[in-house]
Amino acid sequence: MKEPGRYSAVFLTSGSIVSGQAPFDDEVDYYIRILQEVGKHFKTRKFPSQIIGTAFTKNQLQRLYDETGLMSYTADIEVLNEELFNKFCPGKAEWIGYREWKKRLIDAVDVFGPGRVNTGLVAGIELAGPHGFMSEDDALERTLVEAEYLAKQGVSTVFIVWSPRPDTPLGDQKNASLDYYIRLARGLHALRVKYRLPIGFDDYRHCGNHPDSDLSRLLPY
Amino acid sequence: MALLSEGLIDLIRDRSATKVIATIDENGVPYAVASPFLQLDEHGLLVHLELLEKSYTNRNLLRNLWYDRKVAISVGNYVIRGVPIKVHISGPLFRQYYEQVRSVLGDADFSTVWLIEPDEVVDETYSTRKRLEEEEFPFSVHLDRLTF
Repeated sequence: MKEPGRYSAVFLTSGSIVSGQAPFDDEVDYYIRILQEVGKHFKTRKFPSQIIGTAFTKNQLQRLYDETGLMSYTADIEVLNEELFNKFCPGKAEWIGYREWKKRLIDAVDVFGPGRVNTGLVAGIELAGPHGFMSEDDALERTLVEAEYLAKQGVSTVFIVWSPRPDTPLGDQKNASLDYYIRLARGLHALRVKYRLPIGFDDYRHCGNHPDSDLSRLLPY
Repeated sequence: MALLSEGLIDLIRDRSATKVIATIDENGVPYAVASPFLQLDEHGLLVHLELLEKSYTNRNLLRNLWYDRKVAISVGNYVIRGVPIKVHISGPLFRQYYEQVRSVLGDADFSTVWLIEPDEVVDETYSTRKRLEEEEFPFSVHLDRLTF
């Protein structure tokens, strides 16, 4: 970390640990221990950092914020539609649920502040048959409506481009069109402009996976 | 490099010479600021060091890079027009300039190394411009200057 000009943030991500007094408490404890160790190397109490984890409860989030130098938080909802979420993310649906996931994202804004909380999409999967949206126009509209609901409450949505892989359950599916991804990027960017949400903790310097957040380089915030 | 005269190169290398970079935003509104670290690299590219990620100039330069728009750089009596062709935000070159900036400013952060390819130089030295104007536009001369 002392290498001049080399690093600008600490990112932590891993799989989920569901155990603990409340589900995921052990995972939160684990993150806290790691971040406290990392924090010993900084002069400041807070340092540029992000956890990409599951949707923790507000109490768990508050612990993460209060007991460590953590500055931002991402819990990837993967797809902004309840039915598709239940279909594609059975583990997340079982342990947390779609509506609770969104509620926890919004709760996280109280802890980390607007523009410091993210959720990620595997964009294009919402069009995967036979359960996905029938048209790109429909998928775009429905996704952006849900993203706006989150943005209005301080949560940014970013996406990565879904790539169907051979020998996986959705491996025979076709990806969305380039035009769809361009429209989605513009749409999510427009929400950040409308609700003045900075995305500095997950921009082109910190995660090169999000075509939509690249556009924020042109914004003054 | 041939585009830049020896005199101009010397000016660019002169740390005491004032250098200004002018860019335009998406609406064509100009923005000009000092570029105190402006220098030339070994390939004849102009190197503008941008300290702040969200500065007007950094954002304008990005738009210039994406949409092939020109920037203007003023050095002494010369104006150089050019196009941003590449940025470095990490790596050995970035580190080299990062350390250069911090060696001068102390605890400064550093955002972007901009490489700008010059494609036109205008000599704005008054005596030169005056001679050219009088040669090419003789009807813009006031007669009192020509009378006994």
